[in-house]
Amino acid sequence: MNRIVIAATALLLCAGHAASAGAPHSFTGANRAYGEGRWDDAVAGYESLVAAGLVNRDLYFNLGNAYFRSGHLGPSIYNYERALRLSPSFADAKHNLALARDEVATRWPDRMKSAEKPSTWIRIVTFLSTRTLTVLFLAFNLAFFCGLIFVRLVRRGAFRTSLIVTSVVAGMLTISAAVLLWSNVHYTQKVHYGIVLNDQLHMREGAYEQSGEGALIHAGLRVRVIGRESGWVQIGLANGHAGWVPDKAIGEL
Amino acid sequence: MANRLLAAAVAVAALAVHPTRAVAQADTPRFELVVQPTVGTTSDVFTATVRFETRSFARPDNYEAPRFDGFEVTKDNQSTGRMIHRGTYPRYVEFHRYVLEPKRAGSFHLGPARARLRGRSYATNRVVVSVRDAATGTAPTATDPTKSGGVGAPGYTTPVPPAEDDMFLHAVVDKPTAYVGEQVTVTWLVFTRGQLGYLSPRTLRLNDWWAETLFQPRRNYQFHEATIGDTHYQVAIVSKRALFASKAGQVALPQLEADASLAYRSTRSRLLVSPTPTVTIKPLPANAPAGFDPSYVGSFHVEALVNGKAPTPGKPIAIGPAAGILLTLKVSGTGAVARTAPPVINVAGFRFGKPRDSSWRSTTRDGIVSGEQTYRYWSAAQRTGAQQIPTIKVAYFDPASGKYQTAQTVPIALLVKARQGSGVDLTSREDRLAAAMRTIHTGSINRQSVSYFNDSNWFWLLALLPSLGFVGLVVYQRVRRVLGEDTPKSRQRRARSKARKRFRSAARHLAEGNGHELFGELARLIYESLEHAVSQPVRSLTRPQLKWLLAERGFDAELIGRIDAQLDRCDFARFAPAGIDDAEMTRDLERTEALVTAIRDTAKALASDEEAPA
Repeated sequence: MNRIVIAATALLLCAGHAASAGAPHSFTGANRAYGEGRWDDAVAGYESLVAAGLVNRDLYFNLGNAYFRSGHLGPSIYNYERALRLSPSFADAKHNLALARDEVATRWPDRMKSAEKPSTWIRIVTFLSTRTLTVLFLAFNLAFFCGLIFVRLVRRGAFRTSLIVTSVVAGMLTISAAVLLWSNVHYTQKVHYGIVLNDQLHMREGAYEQSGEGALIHAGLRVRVIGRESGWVQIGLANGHAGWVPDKAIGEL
Repeated sequence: MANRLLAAAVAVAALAVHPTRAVAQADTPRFELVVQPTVGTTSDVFTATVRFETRSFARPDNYEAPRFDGFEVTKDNQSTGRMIHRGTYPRYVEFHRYVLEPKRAGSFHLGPARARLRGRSYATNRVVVSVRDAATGTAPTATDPTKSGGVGAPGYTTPVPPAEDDMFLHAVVDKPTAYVGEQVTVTWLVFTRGQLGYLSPRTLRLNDWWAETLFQPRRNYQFHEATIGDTHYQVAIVSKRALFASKAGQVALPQLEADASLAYRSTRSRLLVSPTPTVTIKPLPANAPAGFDPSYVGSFHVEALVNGKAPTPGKPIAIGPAAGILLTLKVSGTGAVARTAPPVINVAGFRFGKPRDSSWRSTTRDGIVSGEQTYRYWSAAQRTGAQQIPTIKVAYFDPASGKYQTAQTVPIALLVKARQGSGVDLTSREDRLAAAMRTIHTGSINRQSVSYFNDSNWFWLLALLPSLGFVGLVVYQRVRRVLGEDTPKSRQRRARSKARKRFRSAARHLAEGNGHELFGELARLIYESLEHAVSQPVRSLTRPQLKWLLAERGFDAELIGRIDAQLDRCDFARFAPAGIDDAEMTRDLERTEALVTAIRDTAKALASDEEAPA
């Protein structure tokens, strides 16, 4: 009887180990397929991990590479963007993303004017990362209130005057950093963006196949997701154009 | 000086003129003429309506009716109305209606009507009305009435108009039978006897069809004349589509629905529904060649390029060592090119997967859908030396001949160079990209999550902490300042605080049975209360001096007596506490408490008496 219990426990342990080790094995397998130039197999391997719910910057990066090498620029850019969302300072993903965007520009030189270039204000507020702006805001905020505290403690003298000047400057910087941080959070975290996955497709005027054709958009284009309706996504471009596309054509970030 | 005056005069004039102009622009009347129907016979009755509408309550002066050459006005009437549009904007509307009977056949230009408003003259549009002789009415015709517009309806048949209906839709199909995937051209026409107010087609439901738009009026419909029986109509194309059936059998055409109304009857909008003729769709023959995809129905041509170069007979295309090959396959022809499936490429010595990208363009010139699909495949050569990409065949079904055909590329000779040394020849763009790319990350991976510090509680704590520190400092300084001030109120607060301490100390001495200390504490309590009440030290005074002072400050004799007695008792008991038991000490404590309260009340009453106006 004891032997049976021990054998059953050993079997359960082995099964548990195999299940926990499943993800790395698939990742290794997909990496091997990539190394051997079997891009489609590598994509399938990485995608199975993503479908299983695994969220990891290296997984997205490798998947982006596999799509890039198989010539699918839209999904490639989408996965580099996903990796950068998890790790904004991921230098390899930034590098390959720039290459992929260059390739898009080469492949479709007749892209729509200003469809990809965000407004000056968005470029200003997203010039620094959310993390950097958060640190700047907290530092200026601390300097401002420390200045105010010392102004109250020091009664007179040139030191007090310099403290007042410092506090005023720090206060203005705090307000600026707060505005930039709020806008940055709004545009990077609250507004939903997506990446065009198809090589090229027409936006539609309505959420149905037979509606009028709008502008032609290309793979990798970053769009704002405005709404959804029965298998269709309403998107907005940086130049103000808006339209509907099938939801499978957009990878939402 | 003269210049300044001139400039001022110009400015004043501009200011004076500007509002007038603005009012004039805002008050430009809507003034138009509509005739129903615009096509008819000499036995028909026509109606002309003139509408004059202003955005104020201003009425027109000198209204002049339109000229109705060729017609006799048998009846006319006028109606006016004033209203407040949306509760804010004034409106004045005036209608003049004329019932007209044609005197003879011909084409007549009716109008314009004229009127004046605030000194300005306005005129309506003119309307062309075509009247034919009722006795020699044109026979029914099968000629496409839209042909003259250049966008005729292939296979046009004369519709059977619905009884007593002055507007209806008609569907025309160019052929009664077709193969699965073959183009069928359908034209939807609107027939109307009056001036169209609006026509808004609804979305087509294409259940068993794949469609390509051939013609869709962007703004205005282009009308032509048509005669059905004795009735004259105006006809326009609403939509023209190329349809490709996806299944065989008797398949009904999609039904077009449109919301429509005639001019000036916009409130009576109604739904027009087209008929749905059926088309016999034949299945494709059974002897399809291997690799045939059912989306290839039409006439097709294929062409292959390697690395963007067309093959030249006798001259192989050179491929660098370990370099990539970009095979571009162009499929062009007539048919539903946009929905064709990418051909599968199986070539020995190469491993082509699915096309890495594709692009297409289509045209609908002459009503025939044609275009070009470009598929790009990528592969690396698996061996070196002279090789060949053989003919790539694309089988298609040609509905014109009713047979399967095959389009094919010419063979392409390649020369894959051998690798020399370990270097890689990065001649192709794919290889340069591969070299520039950062390679994949290996090793173990763990689940990560997107977390933002600015969303965490720590962020808010760090953001609010400095401000809370500052507020705390301000509050602390304020409290200190308030506590440190020497005002009657603060003195009173301090005295009460001191008295409370003395009472607590006295109670402790009472509990310990320490009579000497208890009475000393009670004496100090009475003296401190008196000092607070008279605002001067009293301990150094003799008892008579104290009584005189209290009397002089306004204390009544009874209270002075009680104070004196209690102080005597304290002096006595302090030095002979042994003769006093606990009950007596408790009563002394209570008496002193009552005495201190009385002293405080008296001092308060005396202070308020002093503050009161004399």
